[in-house]
Amino acid sequence: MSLFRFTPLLVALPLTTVLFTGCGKKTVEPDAPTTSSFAIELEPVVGATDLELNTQTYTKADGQAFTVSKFKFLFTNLKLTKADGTVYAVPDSYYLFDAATPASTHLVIEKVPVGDYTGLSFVVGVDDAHNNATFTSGGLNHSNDLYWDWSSEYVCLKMAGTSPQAGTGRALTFDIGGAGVARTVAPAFGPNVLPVKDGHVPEIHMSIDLLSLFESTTPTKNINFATTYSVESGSAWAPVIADNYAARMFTVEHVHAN
Amino acid sequence: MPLRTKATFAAGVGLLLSLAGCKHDADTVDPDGPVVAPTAYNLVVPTNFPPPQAVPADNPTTVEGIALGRQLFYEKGLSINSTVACASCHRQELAFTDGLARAQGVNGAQSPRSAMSLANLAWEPKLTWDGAASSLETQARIPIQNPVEMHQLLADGVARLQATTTYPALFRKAFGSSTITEDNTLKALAQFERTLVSSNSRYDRFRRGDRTALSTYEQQGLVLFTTHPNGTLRGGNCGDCHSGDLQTNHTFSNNGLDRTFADLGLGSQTSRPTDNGKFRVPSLRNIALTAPYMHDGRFATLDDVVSHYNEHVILNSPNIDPLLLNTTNDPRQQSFTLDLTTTEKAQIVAFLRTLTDSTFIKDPRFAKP
Repeated sequence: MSLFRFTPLLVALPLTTVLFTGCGKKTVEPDAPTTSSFAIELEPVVGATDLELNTQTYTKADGQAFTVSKFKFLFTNLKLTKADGTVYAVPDSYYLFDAATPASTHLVIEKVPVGDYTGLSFVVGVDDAHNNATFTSGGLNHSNDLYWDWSSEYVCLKMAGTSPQAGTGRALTFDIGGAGVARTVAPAFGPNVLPVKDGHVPEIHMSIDLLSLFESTTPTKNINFATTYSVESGSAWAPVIADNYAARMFTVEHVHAN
Repeated sequence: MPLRTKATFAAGVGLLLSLAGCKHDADTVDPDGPVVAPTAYNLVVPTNFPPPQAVPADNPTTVEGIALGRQLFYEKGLSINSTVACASCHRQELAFTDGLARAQGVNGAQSPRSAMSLANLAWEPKLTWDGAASSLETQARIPIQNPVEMHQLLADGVARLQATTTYPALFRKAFGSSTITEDNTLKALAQFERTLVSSNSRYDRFRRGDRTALSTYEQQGLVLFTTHPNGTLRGGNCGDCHSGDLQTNHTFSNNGLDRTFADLGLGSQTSRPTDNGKFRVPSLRNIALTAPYMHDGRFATLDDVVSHYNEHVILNSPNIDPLLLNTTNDPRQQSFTLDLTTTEKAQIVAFLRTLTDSTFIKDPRFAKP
């Protein structure tokens, strides 16, 4: 990070000096900034182990085994809360997480008012107001494989893979979308504080547990691959799986003040 | 130092530009007269299409750049023995394919792959069957230098262009200099290719609101095309990958053609065994014009293609797309094949034929100049 931040500065400064001499122009130093940046590192796991696409076999609590070839979701409507209860809604915050694209696991959010934040909330999927054909912003690109053109709506989350216990075909295809399936999540921040201040990029480390799609504290919401292995638009299981991951997928592990 | 990195960087760049301005005033004299800036070209996005990929900042689309790119697209001098142009394998009347199973290059050389249709490339994040290029500028060099295609170093092609009486002036109009470069050659080709927009099929008219554009039979095919079957709803499950108005989700997939792979596809680019056998999910636009089908042209007809997905998917093919494994019309959801009826298969093929854009293949803007 430090190289990224300062290399342009080192290049630009001598240039400015030389060029000021050449063209005789002046610059004005801006006031001390009132905003800064922070980062979110999303760490995909399956239970206690890191997620490895395609090659690794995982096991659910009920003993059913599975592999993962695709895991992606829309991470949107980011809000930060201060201890006094005031909320900062990050404008235009629509991000795509894709386990196959390492760059998508590290989000940098800029122009955030400086201050100490003690809470975070977001939506998995897209808010109803923007879930339509015309809206595209950030991660909300219709070409991102998370959009159903024929119904003109975004898919909140996709997971695909295989399981020897799965019914027909031994394959798993979960496309979680449709009306009423976007979920707002506010993972516990605990004692963590996110100190947004000039010259620093504090970083929230948040694990994303894929196992949470299939396991719930409510037994009727557990997913049995033998009978539920393909969930598509309109499936009654889509909101159930959305409830499952909203409840348990995200954990704030720690915050680096940096 | 309280200055912010970005602001400082921007200021540096801005002043660098002003310096260039000072210098230019002082010592540049072009014997051909002052350089006239090219005319910006605004790509019209069809109302039923999503936004296209961002155009590279260093290659804005211009009228003069497109005209040059079109000339280059039909230029056989870019091949080693001046017999093959881009247009040789990408013929407009076939939606820019060649009608062959495998593309034919210089001296009768045969590519292991089928020439891809060129339409709506401005929307594609990855190009070629194996995703070897992420921009049209990068892609354009591949067939020019590939030994089984045009087989000539681009540098040699540039030298040939420079020696002509026509190209230096065209490059000057498009890029401000009559000294031809490899980069500007690729940029011009990319600009022309971005204009190859196909959006006037009957299906497009249907999508834009003309409910009479498709017959009832074709509409039944459309419903089957887009439906993921679940035992109650019947469907062909085509639209999970060939989604939307561009008929692609822009991913790479193993569609169960083979048990072992003569061509590794995406795996040849990423070196990941789990990508072996995956190829780009192509748009189905103008699909009735682009036979034969698949990356190696193994299927002669659309009926063959639909039969593959319905009955002949190799279920134990490594890295096969899970969507091909658990999708069936069997009411008990226990069959391992799609189980469409003969009529349903014919309806899907009838729908596929509505994706033909007869204006695209006759558009004079894309023809040999």
